[in-house]
Amino acid sequence: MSYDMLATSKTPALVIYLLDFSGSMSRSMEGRRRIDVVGEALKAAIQQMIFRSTKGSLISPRYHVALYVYSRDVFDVFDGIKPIHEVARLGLPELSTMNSTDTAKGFAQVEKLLQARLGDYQDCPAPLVCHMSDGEYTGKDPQPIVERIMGMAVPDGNVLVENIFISDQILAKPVDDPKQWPGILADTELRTAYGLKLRAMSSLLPPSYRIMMLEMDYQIAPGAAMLLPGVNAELVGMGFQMSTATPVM
Amino acid sequence: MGEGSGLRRIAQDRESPVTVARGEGWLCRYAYARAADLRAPGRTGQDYLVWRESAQALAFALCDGVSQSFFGDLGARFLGEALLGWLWEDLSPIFDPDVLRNALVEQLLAWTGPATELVQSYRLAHGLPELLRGVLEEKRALGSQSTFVSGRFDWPSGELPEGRVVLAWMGDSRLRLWGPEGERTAELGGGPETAQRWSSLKGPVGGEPHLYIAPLVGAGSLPTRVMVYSDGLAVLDGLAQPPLDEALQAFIDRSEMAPTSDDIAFWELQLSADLASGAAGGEPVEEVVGAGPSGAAGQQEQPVVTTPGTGILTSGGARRLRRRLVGWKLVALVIAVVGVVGAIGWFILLPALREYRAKPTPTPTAVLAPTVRPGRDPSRGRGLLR
Repeated sequence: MSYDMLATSKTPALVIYLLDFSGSMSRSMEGRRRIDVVGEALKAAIQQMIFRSTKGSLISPRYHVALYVYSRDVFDVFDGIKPIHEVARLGLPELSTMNSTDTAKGFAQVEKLLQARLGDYQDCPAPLVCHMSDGEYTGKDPQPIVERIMGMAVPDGNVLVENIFISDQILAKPVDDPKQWPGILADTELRTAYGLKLRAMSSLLPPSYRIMMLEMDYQIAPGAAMLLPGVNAELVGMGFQMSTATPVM
Repeated sequence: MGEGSGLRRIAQDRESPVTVARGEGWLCRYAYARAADLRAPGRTGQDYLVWRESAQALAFALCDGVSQSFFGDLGARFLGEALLGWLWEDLSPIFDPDVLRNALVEQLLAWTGPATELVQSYRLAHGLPELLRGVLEEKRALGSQSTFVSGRFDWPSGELPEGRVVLAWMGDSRLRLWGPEGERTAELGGGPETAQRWSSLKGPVGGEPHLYIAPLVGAGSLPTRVMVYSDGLAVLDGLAQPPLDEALQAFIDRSEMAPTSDDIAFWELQLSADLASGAAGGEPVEEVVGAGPSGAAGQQEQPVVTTPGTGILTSGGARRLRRRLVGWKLVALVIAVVGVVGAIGWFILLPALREYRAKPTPTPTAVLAPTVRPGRDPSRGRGLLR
């Protein structure tokens, strides 16, 4: 359970994105639609993976990526898991918003993928599921499914679940400077029951990930939860950068 | 591989198994292997190894291109050539570390100009995916980067009666020293520094280059072995002694099989006591001793024997060299057998014969004392061979 396995082409890091594209994602954030902010942050995260995987113009498949978007239904954007060089070739699609927020259905799809494919990643870094949403779920409670996912493990550690919640409703104190923000700790005051639920649905940031975050100039504290309140584009971006923080060579 | 004028540029687009080159008073081993990721698609390795020798001196540069910079192989190649040129042409025959360090820093800064031009003019291939092109342009803005270990050995001469060694390095490539009494790497002060490198954009990054200067002969002189390797061969870090040729090749092969496989460049110089008599330099000979992974040696040029100024002898020369070595081994074997037979005669047969002679016998017997000719030490003249 050390989370120190390096992402290499022979032991790639699996990162699964589960993104809420409900209608509320059309709302404005700093003059742009939330969906556009998220799309940009996702693109930056994919570019970060490519940056870390590139030798010359060759992209080593150090990362494997799956991308699901959900609303009432779940859509598998890449048709399963794709190595990062394939993602670079495919590019990121234009995404548009839909209606409801069936978070449980989205996580059920992720659980199904992991049940089918986790065996392929036994010698790899622990997979990471990055969930982004801007509202409370409208279907079943996703927490039992998330707990089952967090119970899955490879020798490097349990599957990590990260939540980026685009809302200014969960933190009691605003984040003044994301670069100096210590993150959401066990004793951080949260304003809503859903905030508490999200913290329970989020893994603790492994020390090896924290080192990578420090290298990216984020002063995240030990023991922080992998839960980011996406109150602005910078924090949304920080959340997506966290999803790429598997140690690399 | 061999380029005449004692200059060796090790190709970045193929593997070079462990190869030994010998000159008067020195022996050099080197090897090169690309990361597993780069081999299958036939890409260029990002390490660069170049060295040059003559009757007066020997200089080398081992550079490890930073893969997260813009085409690290580009930076490594540029820097390796620039360092070797400076060491060979412009290094002042002095021992003052401050003066030499300042001169090196000045060069590392001056090279950013032509290096940046090189980076800016580098054309990306057509048809690259947009996401990759964006990342490469981002890297281009940051420049190409490389770590390095380089050095120059001046054999004793009128200008430098005790000879001289200058070693300069930045970054996490390994530099280790040994003397007759064991490893002396601690004398270098500090270990590999991952934050240090040379940047085509900024010059030295993460501090100033480290420098080691010493005479080659005399009290407190240079260690007898200098080993340099890139971090792809970090498996050697735990070894107290340098590995034998076959073991070294095995370490390289094993490193290339590991998930963390990285480019490997290895270079080592062993100096003999003959240096004290000013016998260094001379005509080097060279042979491939490692098979390399998947018969890598078979994919290479034939083993070459280079003689500066006289061109290149190909595998025939290597075969003659091997035959000569086999001949010496036979001579050594014969001497050893004669020695053993002599010892048996001296310690067993002679006392028995004396005992026999002490008894009254009707007919005296003459016994020849065993003759042991002074045998030549089989390691003499090959003191650098292990």
